[in-house]
Amino acid sequence: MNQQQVLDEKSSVASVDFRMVTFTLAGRDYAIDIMKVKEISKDNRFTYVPNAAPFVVGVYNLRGDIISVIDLRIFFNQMNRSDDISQTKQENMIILRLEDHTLAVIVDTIDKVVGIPSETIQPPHPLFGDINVKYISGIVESDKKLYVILDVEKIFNSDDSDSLEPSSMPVQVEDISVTPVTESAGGDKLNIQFISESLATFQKMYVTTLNNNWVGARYKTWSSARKSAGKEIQFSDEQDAIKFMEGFHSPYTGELWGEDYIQMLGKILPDDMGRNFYVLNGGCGSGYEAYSLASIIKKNHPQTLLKILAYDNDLMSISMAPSLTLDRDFVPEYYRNLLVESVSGRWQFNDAVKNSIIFEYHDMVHHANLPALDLVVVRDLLSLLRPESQLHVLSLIMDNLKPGGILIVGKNEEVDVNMGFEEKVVDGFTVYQKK
Amino acid sequence: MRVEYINPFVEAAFSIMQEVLQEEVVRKELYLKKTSQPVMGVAALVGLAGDVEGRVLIDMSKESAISIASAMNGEKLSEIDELVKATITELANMVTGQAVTKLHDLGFKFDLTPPSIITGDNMQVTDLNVEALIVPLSVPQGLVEINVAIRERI
Repeated sequence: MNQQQVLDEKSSVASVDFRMVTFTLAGRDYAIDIMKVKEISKDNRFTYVPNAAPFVVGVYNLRGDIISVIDLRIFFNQMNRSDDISQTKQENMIILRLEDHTLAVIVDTIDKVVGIPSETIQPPHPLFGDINVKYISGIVESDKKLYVILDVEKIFNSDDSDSLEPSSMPVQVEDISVTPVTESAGGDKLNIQFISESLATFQKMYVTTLNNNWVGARYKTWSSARKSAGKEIQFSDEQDAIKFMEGFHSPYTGELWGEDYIQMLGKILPDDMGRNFYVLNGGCGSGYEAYSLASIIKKNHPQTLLKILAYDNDLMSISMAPSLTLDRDFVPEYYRNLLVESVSGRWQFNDAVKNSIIFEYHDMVHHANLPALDLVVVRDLLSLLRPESQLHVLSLIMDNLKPGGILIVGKNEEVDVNMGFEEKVVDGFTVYQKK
Repeated sequence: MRVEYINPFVEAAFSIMQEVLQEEVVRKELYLKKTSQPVMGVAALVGLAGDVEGRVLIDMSKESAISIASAMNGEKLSEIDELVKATITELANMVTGQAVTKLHDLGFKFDLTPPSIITGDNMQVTDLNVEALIVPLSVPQGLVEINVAIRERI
């Protein structure tokens, strides 16, 4: 060994200032800062707690202290290891000492303690999508293995309300910016900026990365049309704003979905839907969209227990939704056998369809109590939220969507796939699947 | 909040207030409020459990509470004493009782807790992860807000 190597070795040993306990979940390597780990233990006797969240295995008596036990595999939806969770098997537990309490987490196998220089830790990358990015404090390579370092304080912080705030998600904050990005010249850029501001005033529509491709394209047709008509490009009143918005809204807004959407939805529904299927329909208005979804899913999968949570913050529209009546002659053929005649001679959806929908007067920007969702349909809703709320609602959706769950946004809206979505094109419709 | 719940609460609050005060009650625009909200001074709190979980808060200023209690008792009361508290408790009981009866008829099953009266200055109420529906009613004695925060058990 020459002197240079000895020196290198020494300096690398000297700089080891971060030790972490490594373990595996579903065959992947993770790590937790050793300062948070109290001890490691094996046991299989946990006292079941009724009514607790599914990831809480129970409570455990650690030499007189009662601590709760959380199964990280369930917590992170990583159940694809050997599925026999027999009662007799000893589980590997890491006992964590957090700021205000002690708790145990169950993992697949516990590996060893690895020491690394803390400057080699790299910030989390959105591609590590199995576990929500905000719970990861970094990635580090050691001995040819990549470890994902979990931020246990953040995961088990009892005050989860502030983890929803956009400020704790630095990776995503840049994704949605208020300024529209276009390739056009400076004058056009300024004009688009003005138009964006007027849209926010007149139409409560906020231009962000979500919809600026449409606004950019619309601006081109708009400016040439206005020029040839000899008018100003800027809006002079609300009417102009309404005119500009023509073509933005998705098809079948305020009416039952037509054949193309029925086909598309039929294709994206998983073949095996399981027992329960949860759908979130934000901004459902007077309910046509929710009824369309319920009809299509019921027809394709009659056995599944379907729950559609249909929200709108317009009291007038949503109040009408549960008792929506239709004129049978104007209802597309597809839906007709789901209708029953009401006393007034108008037609309503049958109870099987109706009972699968819960209509709520609810503002998506507020906190919500959501189950794990299979499908989220928020067409043309996000554009009507302020930029920071768009981010908030998207992260709410992201957090509550099951892995593999589908998000459908408006025809002219685009979601940044870096949030953890995969873009899919079905029959010409773009949908987003959570990775 | 589920649409079916809104009307029973609005109707119950409106008709009970009209009945006990024998005065004109004006219903103002309903709205939704996020978690933390100020409480005006006297609040009657009724818990709900069953198909849903949550609570109903009937909120008014101290002055309004005294004049409403005076009107309901048919005598002039001047401070927040036992009688005023008992009267406001009864008012809360009537409103939630009638709303829950209406909801029972629609097929929703709730249980109620007895009302508690909370009084004080600069109070706030917080319901984590539930938004509240506010039903403001304007009566000659002042403003009464029926604040309903309930969520489905999913």
